[in-house]
Amino acid sequence: MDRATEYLAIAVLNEGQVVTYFTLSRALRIHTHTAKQCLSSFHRTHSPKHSDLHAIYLVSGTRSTSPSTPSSNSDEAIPTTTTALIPSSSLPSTLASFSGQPTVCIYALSPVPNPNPALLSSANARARDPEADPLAQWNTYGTIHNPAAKRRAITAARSLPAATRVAASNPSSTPSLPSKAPAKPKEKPAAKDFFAKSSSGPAKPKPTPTTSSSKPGPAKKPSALAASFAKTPKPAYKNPTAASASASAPATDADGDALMGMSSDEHNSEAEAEAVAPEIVRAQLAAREARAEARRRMFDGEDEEMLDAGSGAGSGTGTGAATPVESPEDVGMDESAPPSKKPDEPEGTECAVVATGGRRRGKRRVVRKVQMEDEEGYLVTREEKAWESFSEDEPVPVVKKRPMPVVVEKGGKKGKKGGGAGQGSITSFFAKK
Amino acid sequence: MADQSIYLQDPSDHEFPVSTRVASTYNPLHTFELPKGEEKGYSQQFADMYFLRLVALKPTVEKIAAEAWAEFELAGEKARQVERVLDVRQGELCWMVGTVFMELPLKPNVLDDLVKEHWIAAPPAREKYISYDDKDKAFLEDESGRLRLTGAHLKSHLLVTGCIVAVMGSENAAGEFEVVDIKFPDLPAQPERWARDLGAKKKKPPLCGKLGIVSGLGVNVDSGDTLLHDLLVEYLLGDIPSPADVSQISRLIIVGNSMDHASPIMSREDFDAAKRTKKFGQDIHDPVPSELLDDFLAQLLPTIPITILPGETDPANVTFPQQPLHPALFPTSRAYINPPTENDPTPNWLDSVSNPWEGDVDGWRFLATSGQPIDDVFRYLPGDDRLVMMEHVLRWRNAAPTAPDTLWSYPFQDKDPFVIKECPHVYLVGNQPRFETAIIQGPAGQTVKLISVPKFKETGMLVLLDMETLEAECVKFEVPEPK
Repeated sequence: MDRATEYLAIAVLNEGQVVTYFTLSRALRIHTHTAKQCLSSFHRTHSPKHSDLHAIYLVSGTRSTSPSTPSSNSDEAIPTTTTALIPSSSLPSTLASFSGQPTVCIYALSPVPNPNPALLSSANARARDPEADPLAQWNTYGTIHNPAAKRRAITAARSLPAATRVAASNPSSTPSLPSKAPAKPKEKPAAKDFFAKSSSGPAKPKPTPTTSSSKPGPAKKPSALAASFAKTPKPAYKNPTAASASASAPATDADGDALMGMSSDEHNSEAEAEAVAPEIVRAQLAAREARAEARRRMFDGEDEEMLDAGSGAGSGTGTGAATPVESPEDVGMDESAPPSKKPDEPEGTECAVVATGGRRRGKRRVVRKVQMEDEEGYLVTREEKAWESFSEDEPVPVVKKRPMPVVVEKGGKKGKKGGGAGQGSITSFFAKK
Repeated sequence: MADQSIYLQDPSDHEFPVSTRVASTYNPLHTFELPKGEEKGYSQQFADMYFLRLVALKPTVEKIAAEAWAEFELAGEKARQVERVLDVRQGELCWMVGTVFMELPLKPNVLDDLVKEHWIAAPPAREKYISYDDKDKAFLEDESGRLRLTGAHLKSHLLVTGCIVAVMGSENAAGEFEVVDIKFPDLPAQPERWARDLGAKKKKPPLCGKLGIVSGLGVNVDSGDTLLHDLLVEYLLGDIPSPADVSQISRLIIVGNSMDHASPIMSREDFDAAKRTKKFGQDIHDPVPSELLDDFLAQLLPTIPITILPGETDPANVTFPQQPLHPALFPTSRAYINPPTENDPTPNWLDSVSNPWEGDVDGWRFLATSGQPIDDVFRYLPGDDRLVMMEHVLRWRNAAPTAPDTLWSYPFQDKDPFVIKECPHVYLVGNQPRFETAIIQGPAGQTVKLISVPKFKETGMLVLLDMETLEAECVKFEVPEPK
C-alpha cells in the first residue's frame, strides 16, 4: 500500500492534518478495514522517527469495571459493549479497564497527541462525497449491504430549488425560461444554500446570456430585476429586510459563499495545500460565527455591513451554490421537465405584432403564475412575465379584448390612459339605464 | 493481546467478508395520526376527552372491581356499587368508577404564568408539581360531580390526573371519601406475535435480528459532539470493529429529540434565556440542525431502515400526539420516503411517524413515546422510578393520562386514541435519565417489556433489543472530552 504511505506522509507528516481511517478509505477508495491497517502500519514504521505522529485508538469490548453499568430492576447486569475513542497515552489504562480481549484499531493519525474531537469529525465530514451513489458504495468500502433498501429518484425535486436560485440570480435572462435546469444539480445541502440565495442572488448579474439577446423585444431589465427580487422565495425567513439586505449588498457573492467556507472542492484543493489542522477548526468556528453574525445583521437591518461580515470570513472561491450557467441543454430540460409548474391562464398581456404575408404573428407578453416547490418544501407561487408567440389563428386570450394591440414600449401606459378616459363620472354609474 | 487484532496488522490481500443486513419485518399503525387540513379543528372542548375516556374504560374497571370486591366485607357490611359519584351516602361502604383529578398547588396555571412574566427573576423550573404537604388534593370525578379522596390508604397508590379507577371506601363526616382500595383497568388484551403480519396464512416467521433504539441525538451545530454521532453512524454501517455482529441490527428507531432546541415553540426557560441574551428575531428558525440530521440519516439509510419519532425539542407540533416530522426537513433522506402522491402499500424505508407511535416490528407490537407522558407523570408522583411510572401508564391503559391537563394535547372529539386498546409487547420511552428495563405481567398472561432509553447526547448509549428473545443490551460510545 505505497499509495497509502505516500498519502499519509503528505497529509499527516508534512501538512499536519488529522487523517482518520474514513478519510483514508474515501481518498484512496479502499476498504475501511484496509485503511485501518494502513494507518497501523504507517504508525508502526514512522512513529519512532517522528515525534509528531500520534495515534487515536478505538477500543471496543466489555468494560469490566464500568462505573455506569446500566441496571435492570431484576439486578442482573445488562450486557454492555463500550466503544471508546482514546488517545494513545491512555491506551494502557483503558485496556486494563476492559475485560477479555477488546478489539483495538487505530481510528486516526494526528500530529498532536490529543486532538479536539471536532477535528476528527470535520475530517470525516470532509471526506464524505455527496455526489457518490450511496447504494453502490458498500462493495468498495465494506459497509453492511442491505439489498432491501428502497430509494426513489428525487432529482427533479432537488433541481427545483436550484432553478429558482438561478432564476433569481440571473434576472436579465429570458423571461420565457422561468425555471432553468440547475447548473449544478447536486448542491451541498448546507446552510450556505440560504446565504447563496440571499446574497449571491443579486450579486451575480451575469453577462446576459445569449438566449436572451436573441429574443425580440426589450428585456425590461429594471422591472424584471425588481420583480425577481420581490418574489424571490425566502422560505424560512419571512422578513422583508432580508430581501433588501441582499439587494443592497452587491458583490457579496463570493464572500457569501466563503462565509460558509466548507465546500468540498475547497477542501480538496486548498485545505491540503495550506491548512494546518487547528486552523481548520478555527476557520470553521470563524465561519460559524460569521454566519451567526450575518444573521444578526440581517435581522437588525444593517445591510451594508453584510459585506464586511462576509469578507471577514475568509477568501472565497465562489464555487458554492449558484453558478448560473445557461446552456442549450438547460433549455431542453426546461421544456421536458417542469412537472410542478402550473402556468395559469395568462393574466395580463402586452403584444408586439408583426404582420407577415397577410397573417399576423407576434409575441405577446403574458404574466403567468408559476408555482414551484422550493428546497424547504414550501410551495412558492410567483408571477413571471413571459413571452409567448401567437399567430392569428390561435384563440386570443380573453383579457386581450382591447381595442387594438399596441407596441410594447408605450403599450401599458397608453392602455391605462385610455381606460381612465372611458371611466367617466361616477354619476353615470348610478344613472338609470 | 491487542496486537493480535486484525486491524493492527499490515495490509494484505486479505479479503474482508461482505456482510448483508438482516431484513426487518415492519408494519406500522396509524393510531395517533390526526386528520389533515380542514378536518382538524381546535374549537372543541377538552371535556370530551375525559368523557370518552371514562366511557371507554368504565365497563372494564367495573368488571374488575366487581370481581375483586364481591366478597369484600368491612364490619359486616358489603361494598355496594354506586352509579354516580354524587350518589354516595355518608357512612355507607360503597365503590364507584371515575376519573382522578389531582389538585396540586404547583401545577402550571395560566394566571400564574402571566404573573411570572412580570417578575424580574423567574423562579426555578418546577421539577415536580407535588408539594408533599396537605395542599395536594386528589379528587374522583365523573359527569355528575367530584368527590375528594382521602385516607392513609391513598398514599400507597400512585394516581395522576386523568386515570380511570374504581375506588372503594366510605364518605366521612367531613364529606371526604375515605379510600379502602383502588382498582385499575390493568393491561388490555395482547395480540399474538405475528398476528398482523402473517395473519391466517400461518407462514413460518422469518428469523429476526436486533433492533437498534436511540433517543435524544440532540443534533446541533454548537454542541461539538458530532464525533459521537459519527461513531454511531460508523458502528451501524459496520465500519468500526465490534464484538457483536452489527449486520444483525435490522432497524433503527429514533425515539425523539433528534434535534436540539428546534421546537417551533420555545420552552419557557429557553425563552427567558433568549430574551436576556439575544435580540428578537435571531432564533426564529435555525436550519442547521435539520440539515445535520438529514446528513446523519442519509448516511445510514442505504444500509438500515429507520423509524423516527418527533420529540419535545423537534420541529413538530407541540401538542400531543405529535405528528410525523415533515419530509421537507430531510431534503436528502426523503428519497427513502414513498412519494406522498402514490399509494404505496409498502412501509417507508425512512418512516417518519407520530409520537406516540404504535406498530409491529418483527411481529412484536411496539408502543413508543419520546418521553413526554412519562416526564409529565413524573411530576405528579414522588420518586424517580421511571419503570414504575411506565408500568402504571400501561395498567391505567392510557398512553398519556395527564393529557389534556398538564400535557398539551389535541382536543379529540369522537375518540381518545391514548386509551390503549391492545397491549404492546414492548413499551419504549425515550429521553429518560438512564437505561432501565423490566418485564411486567398482566392478569391474562400478558408480558410487556419496558425499556427506558437514555439520551444519546448525554450517555452515548445505543440500546439493542434482540427480536427473538426480547433481551436488551447496550452499546456505549465514548469520545475524549474536548480540551
